[in-house]
Amino acid sequence: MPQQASGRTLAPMDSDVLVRADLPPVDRADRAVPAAAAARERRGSYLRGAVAMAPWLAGIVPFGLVVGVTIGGSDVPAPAGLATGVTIYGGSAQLTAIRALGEGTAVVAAVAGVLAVNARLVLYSAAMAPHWRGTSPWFRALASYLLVDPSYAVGTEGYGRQAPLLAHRHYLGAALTLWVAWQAAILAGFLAGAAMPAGLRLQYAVPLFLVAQVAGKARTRPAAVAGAVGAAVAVVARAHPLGMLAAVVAGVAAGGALERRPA
Amino acid sequence: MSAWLIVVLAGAGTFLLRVSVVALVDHVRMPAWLERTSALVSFAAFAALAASALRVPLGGGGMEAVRLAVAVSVAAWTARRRPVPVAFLAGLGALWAATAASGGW
Repeated sequence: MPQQASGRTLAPMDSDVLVRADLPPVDRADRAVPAAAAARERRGSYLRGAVAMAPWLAGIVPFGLVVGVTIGGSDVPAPAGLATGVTIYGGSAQLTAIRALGEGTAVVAAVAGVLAVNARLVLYSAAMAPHWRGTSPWFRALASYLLVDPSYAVGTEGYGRQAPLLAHRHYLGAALTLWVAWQAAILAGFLAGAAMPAGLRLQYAVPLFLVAQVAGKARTRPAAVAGAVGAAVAVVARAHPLGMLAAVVAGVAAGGALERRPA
Repeated sequence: MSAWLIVVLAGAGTFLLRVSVVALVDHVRMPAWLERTSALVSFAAFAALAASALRVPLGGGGMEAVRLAVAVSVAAWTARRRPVPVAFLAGLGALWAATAASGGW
C-alpha cells in the first residue's frame, strides 16, 4: 500500500520537480551505468528510503493507534480529530490539539499550544535546509510538509551517503511511507477504539524506540552529551510551553561546544 | 466550527515552522556553526522527547516506575549491541514481562 501510494504521487515528480532541481544531474554511479540502469537506480532510491523507514514504523504505528484511540474516546467530532493527522501531522502535537478541542480551549490558546509542541520542527528545517538549497519550490513544500522526527532521522542518514538527487528520492520514499502508515494507524486505532487492550502499554512505544535510537546511534561524545543535556533540560523545563525547544537548543549547544574543542 | 478553525490554523502554523529555514536558505547564508551542529539535533531532540514522555510515570514512583525503568534499561543496553528495532522490541518485551510478573495486567 505505501508503494502504491507513493508511485501514484511521485509519477509527475520525476519529470517536474526533481529534474528541474538545480543540482548535479548525475552522480558517480549514474555515469558508470547505462540509462536504463540509472532509471532503475533512481526508482530504487525511493524503495530504499521506504525500507529504511520500516524500523521506525515499529515504534510509530503503536503511537498512531494510541492517537486514534484518543480521538475515538474524546468529545471531538471524528472528522476534525482525524484531520489533525493530515494538517498537524505529529503525534504529541495532535494529542495537544485533541485535548484542547475536548476541553473547549479558545482558538488562540489551542493553536499556540500546538505550535509550542512543534517548535522543534524549526531546528529540523534548519538541519535539512542546506541539503534542499536550490531545489524547486514544489519539492521544498512537499518535503517540508513531510518533515517530522522519523523522516528527519532517516532523511539525514540518506544525505550522508549518496548524491543529492538520489538522497531526495530516498527522503521522499521514507517520508511518504511514514505519512501513509501514520494515517492508517490513526484510523485503525480510531476504529478499534476500546477494543485495544490497555495492557499493551502502547503509549510507551515511541519513548522506548527513541531511547533505543539515541543509545544505539550516539557513538561520539558530543552526540552523547547532546542527548544527556537535552533529556535533562526537558525534565527541568517541563512546565514551560517552549521547554522542548529549549531542551533541544541546550543539548545541541552543549554537544557543539564539546565538538569545537580540540580533542 | 471552532474545532475546524483550530485544526486548520494549527496545521498551517506547523507547516510554517517546517518550511521556515528551508524557504529562506537561498536568501540568507547559513552560519557555519549551524550546519556543523545540525547532526546533533536528532540526539538532543529524541532524548528530550523520550525524557518528557517518561518523566511522569518514572517520577511517580511505585511499581509502574520500576517496570518502566526496567524497560528503558533493557532498550538502552540492547541498543549498544544490537540494531535499534531489536532493542526497541526487547524494551517493549521487558515492559510486558515486568507488567505480567508484577500482576499489572
